[in-house]
Amino acid sequence: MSNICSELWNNEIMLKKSSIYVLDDENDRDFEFFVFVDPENIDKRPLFLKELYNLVINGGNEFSTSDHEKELKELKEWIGDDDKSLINPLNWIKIAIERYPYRFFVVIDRNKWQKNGKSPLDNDFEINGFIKKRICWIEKSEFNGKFEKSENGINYKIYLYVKWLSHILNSIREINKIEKLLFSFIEKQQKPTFYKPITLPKWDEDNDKEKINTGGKDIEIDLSNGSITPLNKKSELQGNALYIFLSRHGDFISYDKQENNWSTIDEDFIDSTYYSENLSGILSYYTQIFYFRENLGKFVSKWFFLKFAEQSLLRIGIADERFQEWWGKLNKNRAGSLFQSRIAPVFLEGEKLYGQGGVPRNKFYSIFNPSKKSGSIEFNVKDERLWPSKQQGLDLLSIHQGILDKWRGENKSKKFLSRDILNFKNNVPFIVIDSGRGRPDNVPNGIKFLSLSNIEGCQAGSRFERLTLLRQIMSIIEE
Amino acid sequence: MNEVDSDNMDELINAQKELSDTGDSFGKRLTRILRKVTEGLIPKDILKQIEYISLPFWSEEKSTWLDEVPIYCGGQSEEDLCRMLSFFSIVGHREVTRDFNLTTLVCRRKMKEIPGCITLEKCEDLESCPTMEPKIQEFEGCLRCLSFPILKDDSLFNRLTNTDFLRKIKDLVHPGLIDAAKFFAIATKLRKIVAEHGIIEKCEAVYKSEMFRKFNGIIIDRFKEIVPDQSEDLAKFLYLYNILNSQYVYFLPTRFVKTEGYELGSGGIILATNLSLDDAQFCLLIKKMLIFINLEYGRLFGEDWKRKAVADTNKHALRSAIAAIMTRNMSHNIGSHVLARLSSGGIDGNTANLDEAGIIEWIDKDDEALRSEEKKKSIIHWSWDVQILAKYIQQRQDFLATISTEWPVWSDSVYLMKDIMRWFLSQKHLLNYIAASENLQAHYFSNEGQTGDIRFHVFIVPENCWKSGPFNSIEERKERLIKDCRDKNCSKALLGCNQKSDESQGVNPCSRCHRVLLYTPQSGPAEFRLEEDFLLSIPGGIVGYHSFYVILENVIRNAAKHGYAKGGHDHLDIIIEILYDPEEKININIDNNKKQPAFLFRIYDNVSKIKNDLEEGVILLGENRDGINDKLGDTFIKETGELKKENWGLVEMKISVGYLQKRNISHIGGIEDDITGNKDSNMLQLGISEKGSKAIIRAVASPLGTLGYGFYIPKPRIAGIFCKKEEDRRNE
Repeated sequence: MSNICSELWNNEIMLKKSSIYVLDDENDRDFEFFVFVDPENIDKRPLFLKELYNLVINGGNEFSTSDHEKELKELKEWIGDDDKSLINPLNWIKIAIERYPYRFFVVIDRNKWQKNGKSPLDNDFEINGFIKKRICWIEKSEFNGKFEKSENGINYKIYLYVKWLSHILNSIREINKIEKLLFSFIEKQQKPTFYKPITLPKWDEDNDKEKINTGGKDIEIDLSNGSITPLNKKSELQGNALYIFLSRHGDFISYDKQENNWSTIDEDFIDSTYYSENLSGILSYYTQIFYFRENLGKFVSKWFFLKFAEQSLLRIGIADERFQEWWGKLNKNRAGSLFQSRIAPVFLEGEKLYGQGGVPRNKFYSIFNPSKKSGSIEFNVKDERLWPSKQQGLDLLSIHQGILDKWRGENKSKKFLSRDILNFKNNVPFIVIDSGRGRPDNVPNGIKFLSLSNIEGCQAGSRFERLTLLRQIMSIIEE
Repeated sequence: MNEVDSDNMDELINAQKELSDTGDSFGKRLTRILRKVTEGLIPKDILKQIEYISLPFWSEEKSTWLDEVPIYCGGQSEEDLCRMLSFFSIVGHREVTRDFNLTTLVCRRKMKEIPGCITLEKCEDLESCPTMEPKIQEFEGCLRCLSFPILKDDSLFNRLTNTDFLRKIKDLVHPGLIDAAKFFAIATKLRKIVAEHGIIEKCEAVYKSEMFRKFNGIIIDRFKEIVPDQSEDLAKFLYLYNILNSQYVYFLPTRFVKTEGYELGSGGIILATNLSLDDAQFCLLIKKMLIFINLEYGRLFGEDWKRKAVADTNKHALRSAIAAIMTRNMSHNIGSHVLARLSSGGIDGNTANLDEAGIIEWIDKDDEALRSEEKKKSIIHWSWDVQILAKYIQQRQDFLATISTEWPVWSDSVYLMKDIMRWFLSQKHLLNYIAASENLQAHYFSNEGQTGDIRFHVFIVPENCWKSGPFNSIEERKERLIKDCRDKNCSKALLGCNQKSDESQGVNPCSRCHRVLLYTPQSGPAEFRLEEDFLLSIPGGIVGYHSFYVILENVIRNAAKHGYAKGGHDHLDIIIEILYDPEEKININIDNNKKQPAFLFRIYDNVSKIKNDLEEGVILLGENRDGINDKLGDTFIKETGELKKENWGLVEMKISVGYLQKRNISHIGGIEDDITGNKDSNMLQLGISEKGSKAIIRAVASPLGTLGYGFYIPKPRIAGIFCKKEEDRRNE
């Protein structure tokens, strides 16, 4: 087997043209995907991998290097100063990993990462839950083989993305035996009612006219081989597939006001549907969806649907009183519609606490109670079909710094919040702090930060652009 | 001592002359000068035992700590010691004459007296040295703090005993000097003392200095609580005090320049020795050193000092200036123009002076121009447009908060048209009012034959068309771009679209493969090809879009005020052109000297004339430094840190592009070529140069012969794969 790093370096220029950068500087981290390749010579392991190995293979009772211990002790203002039990390799990893983008891969040689005859590449390998969810492990021979087979960097990028989607399914959502992701389009002939200023060129209307009657061309992402192909006929229910329903101006499950109940297009698909979105021209990516669907041969089209699939699979909660209030004013139909796209307002501990937005009139929301060890996230769902209980949970939580401050009261210093965030990570693998006042001084250590405007910019009328939110969040890195 | 002065001065000046042209390395030369300085001053047997005298320095030019630090030493090789102390610095200098003070701090430590205190001893004789103006008293306030070794703070202790730190400096130091084990033992002992005595809260010394940034990546600021004015120098001293294995450490910060609320040392000397100098000897040494420093050190390093001082001490001033300029311009462009008209004009300008009843009456009444039903609809649309603007302003405020504090280190990959321009073109109120003073308004795509409107056009331009022109109109420019979409032999499409076979069918292939992303005609629908849209790397996501909007707003305002208002035009074109660069030849050189692929942008309008033989207009580069590029290449703060109150629109564009390119603040606050690039090359040439372009923005002549701005925006970086290069190559 050829040496993967040599191969990559030899093709550095070609890869760069596909926006893949081969790196020897650990501090160069501003990418959408970050991959660590474990070196052949373990003495040359980068410090992060050294600690990771120490944690997952050696148990992490001691640090791999005293530098990490010191680094953790020396963190500005945190409870580790007083509570020595917090000074451990796991917490170092939990903090250090936020320096990298969320799409984070570690490429290892199975034989070199062994514990009790197993490696992190094995599903039944014993590993901390947070680490399992945050790191996508790849066998070195596979990584190498894919590179040799991929004629150019483009295919390699697609391979990486598909690998990441499989990781989300298997390790984050813990859904096994899924081989295909199916985008199923539902066309409702309904005139768009959204408002667009007359200063904006009418590119969306054009799209409506040309593409609205092209029928429901569905799309299949085959996770086993990375192919992304159009389906000639309407997709049928398959046991090994997971469905993403995209309906134009309608809902997969809609509310009948007169009947006061919810009805679905096809009851059989409920359990296999993990995401559905009511598309509207008010969404910034509305045009893209249909253009890319019609031009699926292009790389940009495939890339778009990979991104869309990724955001569909991650369940989002937002604990910010402004979002809670916005959500609270949505009518039942709209809230239910958004709920089907697996996004919910989250209340920390309770609806009326810590200045949070109160009980939404539509009653769709969830409560995050970090003090409860199990079942810390509870959902209030009016109809089980809208967000089935076995799919309930959060993968990504954005929480307002102000709520944390009020929640902690007198102990709102960075010192205590940093510890809290380490605990939160046991429940939710992806957590960001948001604030509308720039980055406050007491933002905890080891967490990503996003301005409130980045979130509010995703609100489009009564819609919410999850795709835009995830696009941003997945790229955040910390210093 | 008095008679030493003039003699020694002459001696020094002669020494300078003598040594200036020896061809030796800088370090050696200066070391010899230092030897001259100390010769005869200290008994030779003592001199031999002085461990070192150092004048390490930061080189702004090389952007690194000089390896060639000048050092005097006894018994050790220059090279070892030069390397040894390259990590330490006393830096900063400012050409400010007022409030000139000279402060000398003399500190001694006797290791044998541990457990104990650092004792600060005032050198009595210093007061008799008329040129020195000692200000020892400034440090008296911290005597209590210093009575405990600085290692009372656990975190500091950890820093100082950090093996990584020791490892980092290992290659720089003389192997005998920093003995990790020995140091660790001393530090452990000190920590024990600290534990016994407890911690005095206000003396929890945390350092802040470039030195610590360099070594530990940790910025320390709380030391200022103890000695706000001289915290950095004190921190340096205390650092040395702990790190050096010497009984005596003499630290002589010199030439303090005090400006409002800020004190800065222009240099200094550390003298570490195991032998005690008596006060008379010490004073004499100090004096000679100071003479030397003023004469020689300043001469040799003056420019570097100045540059470094500007970079370092003005960092905060630059950030404040950025916040002030961006805020002021928002207040002007959006506040004075857009919001003022929006708030005073009422609904679409129709309800300005009406009370509630009047507005209801206006709504209910069918006018000739507008029927009641249409009015109701227009009110709804007007309010939605207000909501859209409110969100835009909220994002702008967040952008201002971001740009005034910590710039994001992450980037978002976003489409130019579908994400960035879509949101900007949705700002009906903004586009209606930003240049309303000059009778310009938004272009309505529903209107026919509109005049007095702002029309946006976005083109991807092949390299052979980049420099073409001048064209009489933007329509002509567009047509040429469509026609020139292939090379002369018609064999290969310049814009990546091979459609030559279509020509035999009577179809112009260029009509299918051109890259006119948006063309706004006077009447009729816009022409657009969103399928050719492309991704940009924007720091900070949606909030970061506003760096681009700031540029657009300024171009509109400047064109309206300085071009359109002069007459002769019936509309304003704003054209965005991007060089087609599929081979990724264009790169920018970012701050750590890395190349990053980027797009070359050019934004221009149809009304801002450039001065030529026939007509008046703006100058790109003026003989009297009055051209647009001269202004762009000027720093926006004075040496005192005060904000210059001129050319804020240009400065705002410079800052915004700098933000987009992820430049550091010092670079954005730089001058001339740092900003506009080497004038012998155009922006394309700079971009394809071996190292990539360091330029941020430049005023250029557009294809219409009007004023334009060229700048780069980085391309997205999808995946980074960390693979050890050297190791694997060796394996190979």
